Amino acid sequence: MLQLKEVKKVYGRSKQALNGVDLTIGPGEIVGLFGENGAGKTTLMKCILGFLSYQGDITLDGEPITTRNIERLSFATCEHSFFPNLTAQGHGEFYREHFSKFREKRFRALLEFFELPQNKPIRSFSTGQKNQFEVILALSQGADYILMDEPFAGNDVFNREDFYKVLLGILEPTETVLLSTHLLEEVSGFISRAVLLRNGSVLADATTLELDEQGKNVLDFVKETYHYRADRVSKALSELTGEED
Amino acid sequence: MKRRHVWMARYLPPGVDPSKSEMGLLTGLISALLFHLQFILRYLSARNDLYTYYHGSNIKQLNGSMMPPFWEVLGTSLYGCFVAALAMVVVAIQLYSSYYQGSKSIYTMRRLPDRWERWRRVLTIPALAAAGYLLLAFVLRCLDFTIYMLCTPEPCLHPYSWLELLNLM
Repeated sequence: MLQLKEVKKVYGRSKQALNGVDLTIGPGEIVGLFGENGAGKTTLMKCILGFLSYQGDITLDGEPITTRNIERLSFATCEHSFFPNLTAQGHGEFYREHFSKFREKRFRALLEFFELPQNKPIRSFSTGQKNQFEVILALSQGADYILMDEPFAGNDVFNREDFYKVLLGILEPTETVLLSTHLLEEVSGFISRAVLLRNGSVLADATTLELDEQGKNVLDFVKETYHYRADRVSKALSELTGEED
Repeated sequence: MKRRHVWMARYLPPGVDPSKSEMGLLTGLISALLFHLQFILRYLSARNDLYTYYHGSNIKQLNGSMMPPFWEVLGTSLYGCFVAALAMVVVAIQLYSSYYQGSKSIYTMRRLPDRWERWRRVLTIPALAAAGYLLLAFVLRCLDFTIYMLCTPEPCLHPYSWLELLNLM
């Protein structure tokens, strides 16, 4: 279980990026992490992975995250964390050497499924292929908790669709995904829980089951929680063009 | 890939071409050796000054002057080795910055169960190369001293020239 207690992060002297986040993510959950730009999604993931210093507690099954258990976490990011001059095959060898639970079979199968070249350096891939490869690495590392930060930025819709299907098909019951994305509608059928961040705090947290019971979908839930004003655009346009309603 | 390149690749950030790194190190070595040639020139010039040449003949005779001290003849000829060794600091920084080039592979390196791996891949080759360049400087200095002592006419050497050997240590 991944547990965050009162996690705070301040950039510089005053920029409060996380403002006391409490969150518990259990095995097998597929959690969508939503929020506007600057809400703290990426910062939260980087704190979990230990890339940023923070105040508060982050534990994995009660233990702080250190080199002893870090391989239980994997990370796919739109910034990309692969080695651009290394081939897919080279990545396989590197991961096999450094991650004891590397899923060789899954790695090969996903490379094949997405028809990614094995012997070309990743820098020669298209943006979509790079994103696919980034996610393939995160899924194949053998981690229990897979953190994904906007992993499909730049991929076309068919590509993304394929990925959601593959993800649902290959994830084992104990594998947990924390997915940060703006593509609410697309992932709504894929996630089991939605966490909304705003100004570094958890604004709302609900399972899709709870939302179903209330007759809502993820998109309604997010709009409602964010007090989204649907008439905002038409009002602004009216004011700009000087037209009456 | 040659066997030594396979070995080198294990001590370089993933994706860094070992043959290019090897070429860089060889360039440093050759530059240091070329720079060191100035010792030979300085030594020959100093040795030449010990003699008087008789005009129009091949006859030369010691003119009673003394050979300059070894360190003076040595001059800056070993600086090439020192500069090459110092350049390894820059190489290490470059290697580390490769974790930020074209992607943020530093995220992967920081997630490795072996926390030293990312440092090992950045520091090993530059540290070994720097040690190699410093060893080369020591060997060249010993060699230069041997030439200085053996090739200089004995009457032109200061009586305690051999004591300069201690400075080599």
